[in-house]
Amino acid sequence: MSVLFMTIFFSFIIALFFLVGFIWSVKSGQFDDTDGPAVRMLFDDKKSSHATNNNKS
Amino acid sequence: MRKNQVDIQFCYHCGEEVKGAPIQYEGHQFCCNGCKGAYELLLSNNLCDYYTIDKNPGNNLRVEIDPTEYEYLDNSHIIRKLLNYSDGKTARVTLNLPQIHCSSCIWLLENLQTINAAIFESRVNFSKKTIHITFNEQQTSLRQVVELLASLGYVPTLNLNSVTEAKTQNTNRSLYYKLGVAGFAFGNIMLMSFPEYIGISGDFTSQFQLLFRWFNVALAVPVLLYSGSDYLQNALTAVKTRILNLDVPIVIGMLALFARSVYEVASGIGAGYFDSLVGFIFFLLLGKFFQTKTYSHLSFERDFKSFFPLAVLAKVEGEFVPVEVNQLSVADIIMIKSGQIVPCDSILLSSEARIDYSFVTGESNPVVKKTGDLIYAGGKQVGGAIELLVDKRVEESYLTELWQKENSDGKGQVAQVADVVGKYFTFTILAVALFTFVYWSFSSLQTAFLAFTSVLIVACPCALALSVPFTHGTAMRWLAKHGFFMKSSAIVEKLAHINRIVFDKTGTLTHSKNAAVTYDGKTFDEYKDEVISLVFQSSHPLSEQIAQHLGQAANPYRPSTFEEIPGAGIKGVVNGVSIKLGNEQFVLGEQQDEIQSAVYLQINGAYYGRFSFSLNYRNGFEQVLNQLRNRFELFLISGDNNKEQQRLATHFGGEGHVLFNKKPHEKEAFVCALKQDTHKVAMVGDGLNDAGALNAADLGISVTDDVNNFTPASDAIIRGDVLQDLPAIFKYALASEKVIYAAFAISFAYNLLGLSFAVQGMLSPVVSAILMPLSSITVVVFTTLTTTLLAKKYRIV
Repeated sequence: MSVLFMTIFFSFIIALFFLVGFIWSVKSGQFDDTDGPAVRMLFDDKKSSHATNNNKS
Repeated sequence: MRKNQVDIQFCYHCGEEVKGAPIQYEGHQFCCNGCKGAYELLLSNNLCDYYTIDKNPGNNLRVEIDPTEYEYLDNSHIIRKLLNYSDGKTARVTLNLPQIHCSSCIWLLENLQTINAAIFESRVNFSKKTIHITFNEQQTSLRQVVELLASLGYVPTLNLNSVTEAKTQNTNRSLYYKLGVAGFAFGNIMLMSFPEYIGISGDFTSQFQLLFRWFNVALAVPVLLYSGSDYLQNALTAVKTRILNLDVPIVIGMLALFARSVYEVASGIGAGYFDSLVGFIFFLLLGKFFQTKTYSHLSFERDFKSFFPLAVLAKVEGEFVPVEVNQLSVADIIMIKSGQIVPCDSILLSSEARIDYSFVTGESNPVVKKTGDLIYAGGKQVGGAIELLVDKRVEESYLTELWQKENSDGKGQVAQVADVVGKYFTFTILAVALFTFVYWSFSSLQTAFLAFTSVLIVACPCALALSVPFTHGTAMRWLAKHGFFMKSSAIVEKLAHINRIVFDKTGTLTHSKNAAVTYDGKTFDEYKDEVISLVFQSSHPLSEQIAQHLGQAANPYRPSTFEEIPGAGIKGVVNGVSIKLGNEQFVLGEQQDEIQSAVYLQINGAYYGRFSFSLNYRNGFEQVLNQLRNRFELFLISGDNNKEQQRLATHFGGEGHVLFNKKPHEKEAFVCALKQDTHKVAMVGDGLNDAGALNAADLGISVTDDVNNFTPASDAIIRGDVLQDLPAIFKYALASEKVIYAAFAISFAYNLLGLSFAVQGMLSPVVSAILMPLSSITVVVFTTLTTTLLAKKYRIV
C-alpha cells in the first residue's frame, strides 16, 4: 500500500510544480500585456531575427 | 469640372486622404514631408515590412516638430526624473505612446535598434500603450531617443505628470497569485475528497481517509489566510467601524466552515467541508477578477499636471534655457512659444499676447493681453513667442490651487446595494443561527453546535456576493465595447441612480473640432484649387476646417513658397497666384475692436472675403435631450457667452436650466447645489474647465473625440460619437440593477433551501458540496447571460 502513498505524494509534487510555474509566469510579467503577444507571434521571423543578430554582434 | 477630378489618393505612410498635390517618392504618394521623411528613414534601414504587416500603419506627421521642442530633455535634472534606471552606461525609460494602434506599430517599435544601434532593447506593452527602452547612455541620449520616436510619428506623452507621478507602474498581480493558489487547492481538495463523495469505506481506505482529511486541512489554510485575506481584512474593518457590508456574512460563513471542518476532522466525525470552502473562495476571486478589468491605457485620474508642459524656457544668466516647470520661482523670466500653455500665474512683459483660455473657462475666443497684465496659468498663447515674469509658483497659482483643493475633498460614496443587503443579512443569519442553537441545546449540545455552524455555512451569501461583480463586470465590458469606459464596475450602479444631469456646452454638445464654416465675400472659384492646395499645407485647426469645407482640389498644386506665421496666418504662392489667409491684422493690416475667430482671404493682393466659424452641434443632440428629459432634470452650464440661450432653453426645460458665462468654480458650486435634497447628479463635460464640476458630481462623465487624448479626472469617459446613445446607456444601467435584484432572489431561494436542511441538523457534506457550487454557477450564468441579452436589447453592442 505504501506505493499509493508515494504516488499521491508525487502527484502533489507535480501539481505544486505547475503552481510554481504559474506564479513564475505572472511574476515575469506574462499577464501584464495580453494583447501584444497575440500579434507579435505573427511577425515574419526572417527580418526581426536579422535585426536582433545585428544587435548581438 | 467634377468629372475631371483626380482619383482620391491616400498617403502611403499614414493612409489619410491627400487633398493637395501628393509628394511622389520611390513610387509612393505622401501627404506631407513628415510622412515622406518617416518612409525614407524606414527605407534606409530596411524596415519597410512596417507597411506590409498592416496597411498604411503610420501616424500623420503634418505637424512639423520644432527642432528645439525636446531641448529640455538635455537637462540632467529632468532626465533623472524620467529614467527608470540609469548607471551611467545603461539607461531604461518607459514612455507613453498613445499612437500605438496596430501590429505594425509593435513590429517597428521593437526594431528600433536597427535605426539607432545604441538602443539595446525596446519592448511594447500594447494594452497600456507604453514602450520600455533600454539604451546606451554614452552613445545616445534620451532626447535622441524621443526625437527618433517623434520623427516616426510616435510622439511620447511628456508632461508635468510624467515626473511627479510615482514610477510604481507595476500592475497589481496579487489577484493572479491568490487565484492560482485557490485554484490549485480547490482541484487537489476535490481529488482528495473523492472517496468521501462516493462513500468508499472499509479497512482498505481507513488509513488513507485520515491522511486525505489532514491533507485537506493543510491545503485549506493558505487559501483561507492568503487567498481570502482581502475579505478577512474588509470584514475586520467593517466590524471595527461598525458599518456592516456584504463581506461580514461572507467571512462569518468562511470561518464557520473552516472551524466546523477542522472540528470534524480532528474529532473523526466526518470529512468537513473543505471543498465547499475553497471552491467558494475560488469563485469569489474569479468574480473579483472579472470585475476588475481595467482599461489601463485610459486614465481617469488626470489632473492639471497632465495638461501642463514638463519644461519651459526660462532666463538663466541672460540666456533662455529649458527649466523644469516645478523649479520655477517668483520673478523668473520665462518665454512661452505659440501653442504652449502658461504654467503659472505670470505678468506679461511683451507688448501684446493673445491668450486662449478655452482650456480653463470654456470661452472659445482668445483674449488680448497688454504689457503688465496678469495671465493665469492654463492659458494658451496663440500668437508669437511672449516673455513673462513669474508671479506665483506652479503649485500656488490660482487655478492649480483650485484644482488641488477639489481633489482633496472626497466625494460622497453611494451606498452599494449589496452592502445594504449585507447589513440586514448579517443580523438575520445570526438571529436564525442563535435560535437554532438554543432550540437544539435542550436535547444535545453537540447537535446544537453542529446545527449552529450548518446555518452559518449554508447561509453564506456566496451567490449573493457573485451577482454584483458578474452583472457589473459584464455591463462594463459591453459599454466599453460601445465607447463608454468606466473607472470601475461600481459606476454601473451610480449610473442607475442618477436623476439630474448637467451638460457643458462647448466640446460636449458641440464638436470640439468640426465647426460649421461659412464664407462671405466675392467668389474665388477660379482660384479654388490654388487656395485648397495652400490651405492643405497648414495643420492649424482652422486651416483643416477650411480644407474640409472646400473639399477636394481638381488639380492639386505644390506651392512654390509657403510660410506659416504662428498666431497670424499662412501665405504662399501657388501656381503663380499669391494667396494670404489669416486673421484681420495679418491680411488687412488693421484690427477692429471685436475679436472673432474669422479667417480672411486675400488673393493677389486683393481682399476677397472671410471664413467664419460657428459651433457645430453633435448629430441628434436635440433628440438625446428630449429623450433624457422624460427621466431626468437637465441643466446646461457653459463658460461661453449666451448667444444661443433661447434655442437651448427649450431643450433643457426652461430659462432657469441654462446658465452661461460661468467660471470653473461657479460650475462646481452649481453642481454641489444641485446635489441638495438627495438628488444624484451626473456631470457631462470635457476640458479642464469642467474638472471641478466633474469631480464634485456624483458621477463625472468626460466626453472626448479621441479616447487617447487627455481627459480631466472623471468616473467615466464617453466617446463623442456615442453621446447620442446616452439615454440607452442610462436605461441599460437601470436594467442591470434589476438583474442584480433577480439574482438576489435566486440566491435567497438557494439559501432558504439550504437553511431548511441546516436548522434540522441534516446538512451533510454531500448536500453542501452540491448546493453551494450549484447556487454560484446558477447566479454566474444567469447574470452574465441576462446582462448580455439586455445589451443587445438596448443596442449597446
